[in-house]
Amino acid sequence: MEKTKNTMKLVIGTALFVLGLVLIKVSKNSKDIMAVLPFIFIGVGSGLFGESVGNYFKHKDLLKNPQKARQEYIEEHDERNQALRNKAKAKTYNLFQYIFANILLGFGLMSVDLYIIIVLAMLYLFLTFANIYYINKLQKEM
Amino acid sequence: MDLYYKWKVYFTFYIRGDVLKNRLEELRKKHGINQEKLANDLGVSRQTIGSLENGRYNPSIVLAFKIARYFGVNIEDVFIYEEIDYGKN
Repeated sequence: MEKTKNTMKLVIGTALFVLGLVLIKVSKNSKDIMAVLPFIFIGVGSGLFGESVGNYFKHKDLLKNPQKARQEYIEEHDERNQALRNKAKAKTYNLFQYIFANILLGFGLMSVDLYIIIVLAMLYLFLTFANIYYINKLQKEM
Repeated sequence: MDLYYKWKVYFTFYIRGDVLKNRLEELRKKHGINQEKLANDLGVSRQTIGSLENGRYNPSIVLAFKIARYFGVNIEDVFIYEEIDYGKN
C-alpha cells in the first residue's frame, strides 16, 4: 500500500515536472494563467519527486536496520510524544486565533479591500466551527 | 466556601505532578536494568521513562499496567496516589 502510494507520487511528480517544462516551451509570451501554471507544475512535481525518492531511500535503510525501524516506530507511537504533539498543536491553535484576530483588526484599520477582510473572516469562522465540530465529535467518541 | 473549593480544585490540578508518586526508579534499579532496556521492553521512548521517574509525566492507565506487569507487582506498588487534604490545615 505504502509502496504503491510512493510509486504513484514518483510517477505523478515526474509527469507534472515534464508537463511543466513542455508547457513553458509551448506557451511562450502568454499573459494569462498559462504564464504561471507551468512553474506551479514544476514546483509541485519536484516536491512530489523529491518526497518519493526520499521515502524510497528511508524505507531501504529501515529494511536493512530493523532495530532502527522499531526505534522509529516507538518514537512515533510513544504516548508521551503523542501527548506532547497534541499539546503543541493545541497551543499553536490558541496562538493562531490570537494572531488571526489581530490581522483582521489590523487589516480593518488599514482599510484593506473589503473582500480580503471577508475572506479572512470566513476562514476564521470556518476554523472556529471546525474546532467546535471536532469537540462534539470527540465528545461522542470518548 | 465556594471560593475555597475552587481554589482547592485549581491547586490540586496545579500540583498534579506531586499527587501521583511512583517507585519506578527504585524498582528498575532493584532489577538492575537501565532506562534504555526498560523503554525498549515497554515499547516507549527513553525520555518517557526519564519523565516518569522525575514525576514530570503521569502515564496512561495502560502504560501503568504494563509497567506493573513488567515488574510482576500490583499497580499500587508502583504508583502511589496521595490525596492531599488542604481542609485539615
